[in-house]
Amino acid sequence: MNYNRREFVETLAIGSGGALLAMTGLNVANAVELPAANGRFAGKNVDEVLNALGAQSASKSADIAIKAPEIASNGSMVSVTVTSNLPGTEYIALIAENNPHPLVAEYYYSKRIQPYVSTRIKMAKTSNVRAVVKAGGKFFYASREVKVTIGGCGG
Amino acid sequence: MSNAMKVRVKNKNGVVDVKVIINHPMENGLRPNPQTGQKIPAHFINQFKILVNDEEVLVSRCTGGLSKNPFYGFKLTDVKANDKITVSWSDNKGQSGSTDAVVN
Repeated sequence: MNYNRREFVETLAIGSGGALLAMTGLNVANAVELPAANGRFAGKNVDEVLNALGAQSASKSADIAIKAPEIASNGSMVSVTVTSNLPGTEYIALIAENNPHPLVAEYYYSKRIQPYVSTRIKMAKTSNVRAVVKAGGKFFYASREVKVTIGGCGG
Repeated sequence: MSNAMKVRVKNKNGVVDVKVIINHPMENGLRPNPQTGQKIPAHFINQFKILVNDEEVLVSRCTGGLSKNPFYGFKLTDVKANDKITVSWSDNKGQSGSTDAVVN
């Protein structure tokens, strides 16, 4: 399953950004398309999500900055900003580790947009917010704990 | 149709801030209705895109894990004045919305 996805992503990169790739050596395509989801959103814990992403071996990186509140009084609206300073960033996934479905959202970046996202997420309870970044074909991650007073996922 | 969305585009020395708010319930399907106790059916945006002059520069999948009336901030580079920015979304019930903005 993972292999299929990787293969697909690579085909995409070669198809839409091959010429650019050859010139700059940067593995970020001009235009982007969505590869198959492969059930990654159905993952019920961080490991399942990472497996579905093919990112089990992601290494921790200090070049990924997560801005999030230390304490969120309302878990239904937690502001999170992720900036990747890794060269060739093409993908960012937002994961709230203790949510019923931890993978909240994922973003595929072309070279015309900075590897940055600012959004608001729901958090069921106190947990790490993890950003998984794909840059230059490798996975990296950073995480940051957010203490949640009132959970925002219902159920 | 819940098609109300706001897009603000601001050019700051070649980096274009794109800020988006979409009016959407973002029900994740886990929340019970306080009156009936039954779960409210899932209804959330699952795809989001930004296009510059009709070329996709950002594609995203999301879930009911985003807050109600989701907010998005992105920073575009390699964009010129008068370029057309299109922000579009679609949800798990097949509804969708799209708004254009022009870079100042």
